[in-house]
Amino acid sequence: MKKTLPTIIVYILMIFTICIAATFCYRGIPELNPGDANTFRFVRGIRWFAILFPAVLISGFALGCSIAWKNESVGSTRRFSEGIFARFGGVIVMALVITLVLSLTHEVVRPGLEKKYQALLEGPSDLALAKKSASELLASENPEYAYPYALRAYKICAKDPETSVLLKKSKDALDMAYDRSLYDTNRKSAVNLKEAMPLHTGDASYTAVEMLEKSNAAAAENNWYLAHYWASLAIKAATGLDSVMQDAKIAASNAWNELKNPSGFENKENYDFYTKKTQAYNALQAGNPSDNLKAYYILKTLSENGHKDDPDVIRFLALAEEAVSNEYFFIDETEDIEKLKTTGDIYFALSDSATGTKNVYYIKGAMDSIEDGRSVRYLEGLTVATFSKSGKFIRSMYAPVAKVISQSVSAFDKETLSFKGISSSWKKVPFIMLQAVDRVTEGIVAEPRYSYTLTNLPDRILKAEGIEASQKYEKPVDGGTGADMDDAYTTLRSGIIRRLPETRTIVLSMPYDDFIAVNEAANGPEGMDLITISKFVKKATSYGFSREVYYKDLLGRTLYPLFLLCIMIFCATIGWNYRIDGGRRVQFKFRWVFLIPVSGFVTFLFLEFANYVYNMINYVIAGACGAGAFPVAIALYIVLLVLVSANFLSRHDKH
Amino acid sequence: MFAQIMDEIRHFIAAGGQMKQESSIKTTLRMLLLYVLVLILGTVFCAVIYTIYTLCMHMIAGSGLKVFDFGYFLTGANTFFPLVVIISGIVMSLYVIRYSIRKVLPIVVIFAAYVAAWIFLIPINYSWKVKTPSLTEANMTLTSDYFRVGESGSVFYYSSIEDGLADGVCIDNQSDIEDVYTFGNVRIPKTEGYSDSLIHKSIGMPKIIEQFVAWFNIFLDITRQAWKAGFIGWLCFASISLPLASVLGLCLVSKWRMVNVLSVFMAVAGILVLNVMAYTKSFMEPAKAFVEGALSNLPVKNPLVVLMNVLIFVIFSLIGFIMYNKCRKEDKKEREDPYGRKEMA
Repeated sequence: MKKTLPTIIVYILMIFTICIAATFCYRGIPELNPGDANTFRFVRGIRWFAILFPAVLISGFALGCSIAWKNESVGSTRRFSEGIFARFGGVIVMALVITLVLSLTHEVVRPGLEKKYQALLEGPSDLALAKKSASELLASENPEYAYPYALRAYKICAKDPETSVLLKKSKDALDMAYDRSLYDTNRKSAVNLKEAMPLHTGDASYTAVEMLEKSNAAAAENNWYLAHYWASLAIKAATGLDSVMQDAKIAASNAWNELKNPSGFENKENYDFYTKKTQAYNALQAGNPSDNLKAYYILKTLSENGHKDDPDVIRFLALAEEAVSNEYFFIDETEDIEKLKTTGDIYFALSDSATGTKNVYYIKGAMDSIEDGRSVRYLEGLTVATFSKSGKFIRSMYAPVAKVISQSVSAFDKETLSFKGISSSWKKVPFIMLQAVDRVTEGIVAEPRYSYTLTNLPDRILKAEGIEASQKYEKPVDGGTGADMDDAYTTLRSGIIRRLPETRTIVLSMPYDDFIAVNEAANGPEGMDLITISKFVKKATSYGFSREVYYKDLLGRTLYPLFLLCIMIFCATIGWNYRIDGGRRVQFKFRWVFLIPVSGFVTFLFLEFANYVYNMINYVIAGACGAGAFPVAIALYIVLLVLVSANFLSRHDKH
Repeated sequence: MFAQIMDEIRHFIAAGGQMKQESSIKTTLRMLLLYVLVLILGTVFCAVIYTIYTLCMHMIAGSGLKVFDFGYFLTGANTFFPLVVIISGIVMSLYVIRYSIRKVLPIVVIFAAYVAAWIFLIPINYSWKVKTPSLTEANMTLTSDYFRVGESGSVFYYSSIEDGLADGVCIDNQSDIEDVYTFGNVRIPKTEGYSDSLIHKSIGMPKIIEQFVAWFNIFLDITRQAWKAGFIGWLCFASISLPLASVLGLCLVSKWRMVNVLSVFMAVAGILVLNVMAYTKSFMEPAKAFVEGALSNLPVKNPLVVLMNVLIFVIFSLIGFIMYNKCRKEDKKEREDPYGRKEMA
């Protein structure tokens, strides 16, 4: 078999040279960034070569075999002879090597090349967008956002004269802004969320007895806010029959009475401060999202109006901020989401086990980042359409911006978990905040809009899809009971709507990893890596994707080496069958070389056809065998391998 | 031409002696049997592939595979039989190349069998009308709860489908104003070909195969037209079998069998392309008109094709005879002097 190697290598080099020569001779290229033309030509040539590569390699192998076994039927006059077994060993080694090379090309090289090729094609529009964003952001004095764009533009095309100017400008602007911030402490860092985050959990981690002690200590100092705060925490922490519970309740009630009847104010200002503080404290204790927000704003105002050093204000502002940041997010976090999009369209479906509804989620774009060590994703244009279990429309919700954090599952108690249909093995689930508030001004809110009527399809889409306009509002006729049905439906619908309050946060009952995986899924399985697909395939249906499509892709890609091996052994058989014949005097003739491209073309057609049939068979297996598809497919291709091997081993020649 | 072959056989039988004649007959019988097997197995293979294709075509996401319908198998066999006949000639050539068959009788018999298959079997195949199973409404109904990309490129999600009326969402990500539309009781548009666009999108035919299928369809149309044109018309069309069978003459062109194989492939492809071009509008138009004008009093349809086919047949047969004689001489030399000692001396 060693003799075949030079043949194959020369052949590959020949085709490679032809591809590269062709791509540089063929002048027609699309519009590209300056300086990309030669790279594009080269990548295009490599891409052509990569498409031809399997056919080249496999036809080279077959031809190599048929040349190497020239007149060589020694020891192979009968079927399953020793001679053919010896050759089979060589064939297997070569076939394995080629299979490895081709599988790597298929899984690694070609997707990478395709990405590079697309990136080059989209280069001009990417560059234009990055340049536009950078200059706009510079003009609006946002150098910290402008800089990454300038850098991106520079990385896309360093040869473009504008990009280096932009990069320098934004770098200077950024440096200036940084210098300014050293002397200006009142800038955006006034609210530091990061430090506020662990407060509530920290406080809640004490035991009930410790909390009660803290409450009593505070009461001794006449700090009734703290006394009530700790006593309330102690009530929550204490278990039902505990004596601590009783004591805590008494302490809380005492503190509350003290708070309700304050006395000894030196002036009106102090009284006002006290009332405001109590109001904020009450709101905070109520604990629901809008009250937290209220408390946050009251305390924020107090803090900014001369009470910055009041220990209660500091403490409760921190707590309120923590609560708010868990349910709301600040608008300025998302200002540039449109420009910083890192993903394309994302869509998926999810049914809600608590209410039995089906929800369809569509996200125009998303940006990933890290905050406090956990992944955060900002969503732009989130639409959620809710349908009843039977698929009837209930409502749709649109949020211009939303923030998703990975919420640890351990934060939920058992009842919540089973109610929401969350498995504790998921570790993290996406928690979506739909409402964004302004950091400083109360009342500026970006909140979700709910709608309870169908929008219906516009004429443009009806036309493009071939849906006849007259049929769009057609209702199924139901023998006179139509009106009753409608009534029943309306009653049912309003019942469901009552059970679905308009929320500002959504906990998705899916693992956070799946939430990341679905945005790749919307673009089809080809772009996903095998590990992601193998995890995703089981759940594809529940997210609205076809299990068959993903299973077929998984089968096709994992079993591709086995399939290739079958093809290689078959080709070796062809090589033996049609080897050089006609006595020892026959030497390899140079004019035969001209038939090599023809054999490459025939092999290319054969491979295209074989791949197509392979795909169809995998589809049928994935569709017919369900979860057992994998073993069935493996068994099928192993049987095929055994058959082609036996066919090869039965080769013999009488002369 | 025919007299020449008969002469060759007579000469061969006279010179060959008893043993050879017997072995010739044995080979002939074996090859005839093989030919019948190739026709049967080839038809079964094509029918199986076609059945798998229809299974995929009628697959609907989430509802698994529809029950296997034998009707599709028969349709596949019926549709692809002409292709199997064409390929059977190639397979027999491959057999001749593989086993270095250098006997005239089996070659002539296979040639005759091939031409007979064209003249008789294909018309029989066409007169056997297979009823393509029609899909029931239940088999066509899409499943709800899947994202599907529609004709316009927008993404559709049907939340419920009842009696062909669907409720759901349409994500219009094609226009500049990306928007989401909700709808109820919309009649799902009927699709051609694949039942489920979701499946269709992920199992698109490779472009080159698609092209071949398109060409094959044109060829099938021509074949069917010729069959409808009556026996003489069919005979004229079936003249394609002469050059297609005479590729057997190319089986000995080279010492490297692979070269012979590729020559056969190229010759068959060339003959098919020339015939299709002669029946459709192509650069051959003026030649066609000229020949038709010259031979207008003959009852032959499209005489250019017949002339062309006979010409190719003569050329390939001549190549075959020349190569056959050459090989016999070489074989004789090889038998007398297997290691080329005389030559070297």
